[in-house]
Amino acid sequence: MDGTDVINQALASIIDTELVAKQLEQAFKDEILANASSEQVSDEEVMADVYQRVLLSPAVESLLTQEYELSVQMQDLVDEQEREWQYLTQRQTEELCYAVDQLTEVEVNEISVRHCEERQIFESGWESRLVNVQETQKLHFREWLLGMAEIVETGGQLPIRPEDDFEQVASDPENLDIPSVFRLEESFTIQLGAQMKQSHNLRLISADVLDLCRLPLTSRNDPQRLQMALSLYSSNQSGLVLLVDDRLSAYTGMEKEFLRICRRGAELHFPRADLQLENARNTFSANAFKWRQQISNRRINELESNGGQPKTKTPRLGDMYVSRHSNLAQVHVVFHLVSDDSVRSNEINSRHPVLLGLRHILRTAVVSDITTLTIPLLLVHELSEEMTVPWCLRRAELVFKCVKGFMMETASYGAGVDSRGSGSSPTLQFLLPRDAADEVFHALAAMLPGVFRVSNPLVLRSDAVR
Amino acid sequence: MELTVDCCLGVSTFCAANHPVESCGSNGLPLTPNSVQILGKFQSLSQLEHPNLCAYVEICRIQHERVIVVAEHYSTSLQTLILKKKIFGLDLQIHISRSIIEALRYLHSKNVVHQNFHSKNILISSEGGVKLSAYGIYYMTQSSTLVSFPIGYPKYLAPEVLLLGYDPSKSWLDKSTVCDETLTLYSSKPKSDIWSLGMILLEMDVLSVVVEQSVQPELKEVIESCLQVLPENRPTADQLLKYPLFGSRFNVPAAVFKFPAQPLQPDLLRIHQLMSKLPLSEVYHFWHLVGGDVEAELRKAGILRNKPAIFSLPCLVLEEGESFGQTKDRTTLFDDSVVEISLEALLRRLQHLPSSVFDPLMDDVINDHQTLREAAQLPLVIKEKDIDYQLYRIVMFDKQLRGYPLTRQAIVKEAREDVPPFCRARVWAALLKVDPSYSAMYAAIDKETSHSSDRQIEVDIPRCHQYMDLLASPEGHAKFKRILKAWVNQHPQYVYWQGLDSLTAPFLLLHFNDEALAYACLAAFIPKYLNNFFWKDNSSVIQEYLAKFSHLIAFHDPVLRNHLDCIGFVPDLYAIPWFLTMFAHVFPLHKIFHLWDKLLLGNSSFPLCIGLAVLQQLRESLLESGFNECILLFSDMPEIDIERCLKDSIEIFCSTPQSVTFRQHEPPSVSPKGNRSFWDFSLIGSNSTLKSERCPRISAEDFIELLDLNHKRFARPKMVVVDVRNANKFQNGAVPGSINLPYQTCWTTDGTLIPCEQVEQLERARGKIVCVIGSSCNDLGLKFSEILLDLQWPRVCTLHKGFDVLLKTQILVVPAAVGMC
Repeated sequence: MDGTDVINQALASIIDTELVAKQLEQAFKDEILANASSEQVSDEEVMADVYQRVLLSPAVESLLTQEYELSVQMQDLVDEQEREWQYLTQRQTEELCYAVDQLTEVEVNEISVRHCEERQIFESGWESRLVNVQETQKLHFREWLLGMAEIVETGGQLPIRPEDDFEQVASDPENLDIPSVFRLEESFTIQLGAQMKQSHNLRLISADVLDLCRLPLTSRNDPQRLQMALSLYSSNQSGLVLLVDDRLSAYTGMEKEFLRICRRGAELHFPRADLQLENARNTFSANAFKWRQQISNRRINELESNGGQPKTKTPRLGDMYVSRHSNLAQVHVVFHLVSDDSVRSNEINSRHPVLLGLRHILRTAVVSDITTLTIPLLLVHELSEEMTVPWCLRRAELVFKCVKGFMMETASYGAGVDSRGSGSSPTLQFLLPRDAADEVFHALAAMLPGVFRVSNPLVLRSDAVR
Repeated sequence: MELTVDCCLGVSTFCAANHPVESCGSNGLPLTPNSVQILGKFQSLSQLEHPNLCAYVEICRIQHERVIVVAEHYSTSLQTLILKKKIFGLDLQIHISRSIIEALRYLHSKNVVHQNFHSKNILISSEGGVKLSAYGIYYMTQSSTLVSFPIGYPKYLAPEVLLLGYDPSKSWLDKSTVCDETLTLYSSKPKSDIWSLGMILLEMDVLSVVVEQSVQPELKEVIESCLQVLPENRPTADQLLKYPLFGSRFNVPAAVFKFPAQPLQPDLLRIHQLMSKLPLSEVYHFWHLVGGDVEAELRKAGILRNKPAIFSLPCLVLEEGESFGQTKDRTTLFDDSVVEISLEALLRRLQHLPSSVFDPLMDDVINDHQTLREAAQLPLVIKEKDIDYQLYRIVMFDKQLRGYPLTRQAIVKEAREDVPPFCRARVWAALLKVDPSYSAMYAAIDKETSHSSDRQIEVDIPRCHQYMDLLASPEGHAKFKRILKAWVNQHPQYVYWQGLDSLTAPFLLLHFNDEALAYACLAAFIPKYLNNFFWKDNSSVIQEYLAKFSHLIAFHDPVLRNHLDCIGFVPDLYAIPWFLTMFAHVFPLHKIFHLWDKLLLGNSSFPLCIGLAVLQQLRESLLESGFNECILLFSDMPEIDIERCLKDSIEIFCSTPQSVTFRQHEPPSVSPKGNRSFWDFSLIGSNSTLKSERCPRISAEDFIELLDLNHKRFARPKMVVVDVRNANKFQNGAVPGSINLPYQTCWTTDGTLIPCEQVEQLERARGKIVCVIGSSCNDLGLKFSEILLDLQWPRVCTLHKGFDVLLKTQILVVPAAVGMC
């Protein structure tokens, strides 16, 4: 169809010119700045901007103190809840023990029904209390931040904080000396590429994965807090791969522990972790499930085969969802990668869905400016009996090799080497479970340079430039 | 063409469309990012040259698929004139119309469709020149298929463009499989530009109607002919120029329409005058050298804004790679703003330069100027960033290159100093003695017919230096393929060996916009450095080359040679890709450039010296390593300091007698000294002989030159001669000053030399070249030299053909005279 044809068709009203005009208008609105509807900046982005400004002003200390205090408040509250819960369960256990010994079966049943109700009341009561506090905190922080931003902008007098008296305690060097959560660590600089070599940093660490999240709350002026706050809205964030089960449930396993940790700190920037999780669940059951159905329908039509129609509305092995956090120790972004018991097998290969998921995570991290990414090297967070030393070595070698491949692949997502800017792969931290034997750690530290090429420093002799 | 005072750099930017996740091309490889494709398409735009077009200068790509385009720019546009209600007389209207049409005629003759007409994209220079800008975006985005936004302004677009092109889903175009036919069918044609032209003229004319109260009938005729609904009824740009309106009757000098720009500060006038004679691309290069940064300029102007990355994360990513929950980032929308960069800062930076720098052939500039002289001594990477020095070098090379081929000698002389990156392409062509008629020659070569090596070429190209965006672009691949096919077709005596692709890469990158010259350079390079390497059976050529390499190692570094021999790490295991690609396969291109800058000045044996210099730089690791470690070390070339490597290789070259590296397969020499037939040096024998010998031979000619009996060449003797024939023969006649150590009697039982006066004499000469002369009828001379090599003795060689070869010469003396002194 050429120009003349299309004009003749339009003249003959074969083409719906109204529709074309509408499409045209939409295209210009969607893609061209001058035609786009006026900027819809989300509240989150506005606050991000204000936050950045206060952070880079003399008010930074007050800001960190604010955050610290709100987190302490949250933590105390959660501690209280946990104490009461413990008390409740203890009391109930005692009652039940007594009942089993002394009372009839009917009465025991009644008691356990009552216990169940009590627990529900306890949970929902606390839940709403926590949510309430959280929302209040967020509002309070928002107002405080806006007020502070105005003071900073107008060059006004920063409020003198009454707690300045306690400053001495905070700056006590012993308090600043935070013990590293890494039990063992070793860093490597490697090079990738055949002719043009690009350097990347890798680190092998042994730690409890949740310790990377747990906020220590040891001092107001924790330098790591400041570091995390500064990078929150920057283009160098930290990500963590957390292996979870497919239930997306807040009540079991790793996810439960993780959410508990999230709850303990004041989340002043993003939706609560459990809401983010729920959102992911909804997105999955609505959009992703539909997409999968369409794909499989198309495939069925094409191949006439009755290939696996997606049945469950829950994610499957290798899917992942993303959550954002401002209140974790070393992590801004958590990639929840769905895994299952199949990763315990000795026989998994590079096509295993969890490894494919890892590949997508690396790609997402690169395009989203995540510059530090922590990956569970053995694809498990806890060691069990069958994970012998040979098993660990074999698994680590597989993951090393796959990740190397992924890194080479993502090299093309960045800018070209002859142009400016480095869109290279992030610093990768390979995480070993905390209980991994030293022997395993050292064996892996020895293996890594064999898989990746450790960079060969260019030694310039003094006579090199004469 | 001179740059006017108001000429500046215009910087604009846009994002390329992202490929759908997990999509791959028909060859199974991941798709080339669209931004890289745009980079490739842009290159031919940068070659367009027309007085009515703003020249395209540079394109670069940054993260997140964004490209930045730099072009010639002026702040006054037709839109400004219209808005300011400048009086539009008929003369001015005709001048503007004619200029636009001239530009369109040129663009259409180059198969470029503008599509992006707007009165703000028609710029007016202070001299009254009319220049179209932003005319290349439709072309470089492959008819807008490489971006997600529509190109063009609806007000000016032809009806068929609106009807065809703006289906927002572009459903006619599945981007991953877009074939050329669909593309040609649906992309806009030149006639659509004619409509847009009509709209521009109408806009201009409507204004003048208000002013002059009457429509110019001639202009009306032009506008009406452009605004025909059916494209075929519109005239072409060529036809438009034949309208009476554009005849000589209205030919008024453009000077009438001067729009005086902000005058330049008086102290900058001199330097502007000097700089205005340089091409804009060169000026941009200097702007870059003084720290100009287009990305920073865009940020400063607020065009480039980053939304915090944490807000653009997806919420969910499936195992299949599909992601959900990502909102469209407003910062990636298309913004047609142009950021103007004034060249004043550059002028200010350069204003201290004396005018003589711009006329380097007249004066001895380098010696007149202290700073330049100092800069010349700096390390290569530093002086390549030194603006003053680069400006001086570039202006100088420009002048010399204009005189090529007459000025070739001068170019060679200057290139020995260094080659400025900006001039490298042309300097290399001169060094390789490319015939100025290369274009016609290339045009005549068949580059299309299928050939048995096509498949291999197809496989190799997508793996060759792909980190360079240009070489990774489809445009680059197409050129690559044509050059390789042209070479294979043109050289039936040779075959395509893997490695030819690596050899081509540096030339293609340098002459990306002059494919014929890239080919001509390659075709000149191969016979000079890789003569016969591309024979179908090239083993004899390569074996000879490697044997000579081994000799060279033994000659200069016996310790290393003995170690490598001992662990069995022979050059066959690592050096074939080095020499077959002249290192282009082992180093990144930016290093190859520096390496070849010097390599091209050397003869065909020079690469052997580079090879040795590379080994020596890794000497310590090699000496510590066993076979496996060495294999591992070279499986991926370690970091090499190229500048030092080159300095070392030149030293090696200068201290190596020519005949040590002489090869049967070296290209016929053109130098007067090359005629060695008298000494019959050429036929040493088979490669196996060559390989079995561990020390090099030298020719009698080199021998006499090094002996330097008359002390003409060297202040101190360079060579010590050891005669291993028995004492009787020695007494009958010998080389003056030679030491007699008869092979049969000079060894202890454990293989060392029996201490004596002669041995002491030899010890004192350690470091000099040791030439061992044996009898012509046995190989004791060779054996002796090999034992010296075992004893880690450096610079040992034997005289080819032994003592008898000297009989014809006049240098031999009576024995007594020798023995006593």
